[in-house]
Amino acid sequence: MQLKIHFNNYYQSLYLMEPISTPPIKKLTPQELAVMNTSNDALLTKVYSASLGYFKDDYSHYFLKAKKKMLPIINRGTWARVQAVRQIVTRFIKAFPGNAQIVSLGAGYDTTYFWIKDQIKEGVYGEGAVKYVEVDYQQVVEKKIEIILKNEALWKHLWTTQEDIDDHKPEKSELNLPDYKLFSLDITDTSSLAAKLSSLSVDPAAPTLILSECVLIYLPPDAITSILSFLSSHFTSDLAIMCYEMINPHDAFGRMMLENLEDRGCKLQGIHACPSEGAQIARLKEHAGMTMAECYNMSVVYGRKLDAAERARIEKLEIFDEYEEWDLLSSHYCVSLGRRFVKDEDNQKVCI
Amino acid sequence: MATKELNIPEITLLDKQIETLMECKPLSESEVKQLCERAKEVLIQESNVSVVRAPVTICGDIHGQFHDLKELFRIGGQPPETNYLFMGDYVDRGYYSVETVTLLVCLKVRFRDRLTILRGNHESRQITQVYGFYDECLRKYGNANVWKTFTELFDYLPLTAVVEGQIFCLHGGLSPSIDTLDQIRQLDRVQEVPHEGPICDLLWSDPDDRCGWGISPRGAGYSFGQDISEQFNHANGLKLISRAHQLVMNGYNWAHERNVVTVFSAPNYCYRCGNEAAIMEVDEFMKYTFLQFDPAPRQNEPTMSKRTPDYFL
Repeated sequence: MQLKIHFNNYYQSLYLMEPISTPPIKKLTPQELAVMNTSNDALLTKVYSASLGYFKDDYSHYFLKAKKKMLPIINRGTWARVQAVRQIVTRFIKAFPGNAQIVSLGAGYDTTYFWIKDQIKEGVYGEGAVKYVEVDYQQVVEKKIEIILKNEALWKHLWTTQEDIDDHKPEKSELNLPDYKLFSLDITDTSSLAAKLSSLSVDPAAPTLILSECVLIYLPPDAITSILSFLSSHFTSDLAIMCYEMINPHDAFGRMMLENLEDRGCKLQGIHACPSEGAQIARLKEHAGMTMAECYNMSVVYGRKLDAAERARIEKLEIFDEYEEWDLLSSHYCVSLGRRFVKDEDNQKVCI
Repeated sequence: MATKELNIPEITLLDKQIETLMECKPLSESEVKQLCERAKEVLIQESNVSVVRAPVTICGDIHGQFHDLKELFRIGGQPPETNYLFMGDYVDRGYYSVETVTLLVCLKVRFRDRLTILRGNHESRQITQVYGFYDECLRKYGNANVWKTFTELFDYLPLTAVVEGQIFCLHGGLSPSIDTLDQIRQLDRVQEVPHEGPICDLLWSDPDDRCGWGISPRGAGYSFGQDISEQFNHANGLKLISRAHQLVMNGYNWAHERNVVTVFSAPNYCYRCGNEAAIMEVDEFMKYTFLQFDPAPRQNEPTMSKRTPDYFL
């Protein structure tokens, strides 16, 4: 209880007494603003599908103001996405027990970190400590921090003792704890990213999993290339890169997807340079120096790569009358995973 | 007992309501109630296998895409100049289920011999609560009365139709419990779409490449092979089974060596799928022609409807 009282003082000093030097918020382009807002869409779908029992997510709802009803096709796809990411995360942490590091690019309001903390408590990973790093736009990061600090269910995972709080004071737009870093930065500015990672003592020699869910695709191809080659050179030891994003822009559904997303300001600038599963694999190998890479569309991931018993369970949650549409929608998304592991056996352990 | 003919004031009112609806403006709650009462009287007269004469234009799913329904009338001809047979799924998914289904019911009451409206699997209480019609009624009327009125009416919609004794039309497909049209005529259709049994199958089943009967991945109805379609057509003196229910990218799709055709009339389904729509014109010599069409331009729609359909972002 005492912890909470002291903690509230920090909260007050951060939000109620206006600090003298608030970092200026960089003005975003319309595309950047629209892309930033997609973090709300991801949040909406996760909160709703979790509320129907598709998967356990005790934390996302703290970040959402108003719940919205989503259709079964979206709930099913959200389940597949969340399960696919969690499966890779789990396999990675288990492959590198004790020193796994996860860097989530454009993390938005994602709560995988909090989910991992619960998994650790339940002993799912054995001795596995995990370092988690998140980067996003300043507006998103500040809102995320504010909500974390407002809700004990969230901040209790970050700070457990008064000492913790004194040693790792929250800031308005940055959190720097031993196992959790959250900061804002333009990820296309790779030299600043390098400096920031160093200043937050993110270990470049630790086994690292990069997560990128619908992030790179909004950037121009050369920016994507430079981010991937930066990651490849910055992290010097075991490295895995996971992408979840859109593919197949050329058929009727794909063309309409591009048009609809462009209508709301989110141009998929990266899709034409990487339009297929094969191109995803080639990109990871050529630009990110991955020695192994695999990629499947979400129709395949859903049908063959996720736990069959869980799939059977979620298929009973709602009436589902969107079969043809599901085939279309899920075949326009993919998960790709590239690896560059020191020991070959780890390639078998960490896969889609 | 035949339904009584429309009197002049009724015709005047219906014409006015059709005019309103054609502008995508909904009717009032009391108008809907009155309309549905009248529609029940008309529909109850129709057999489970409605008798339809050629020429007629056969249409598939509409799903609340009102502006595309107007485009359909532009391509196929305005009712009542063109006779229409709709194979269900008027509501859910699109933003204008209320206007779409009200217009079709209005047209049915006004021109009962020139329009046939069958029941689709979405014309049900349960499925409309998941896929949008219920929420749209709440949004547009502030309560669920209109939803209740329409879903009660849906129980009266005929399940199937036969054009000139040759083209068997229905929403979904065949049922293992049904071999003949007479067996369909015997069904007591005035009820909510059941979870299983012949009524459910007629509204939910799909043709499949395999032989015989299969379990449908939809969890309702069956999948049926070419042998089943051929047998059914042969036994009932039919030339073709025309059905809707499945999104097909070209708007129509032949199956089972032309024993079955799927017609889908919602272009760019859910404003997301990028598909063409189609309707099937059957002339007085029973010759059929498919007319394909693209979505109506969306700039005429209010901005609310231009919101992006959902993706994973």
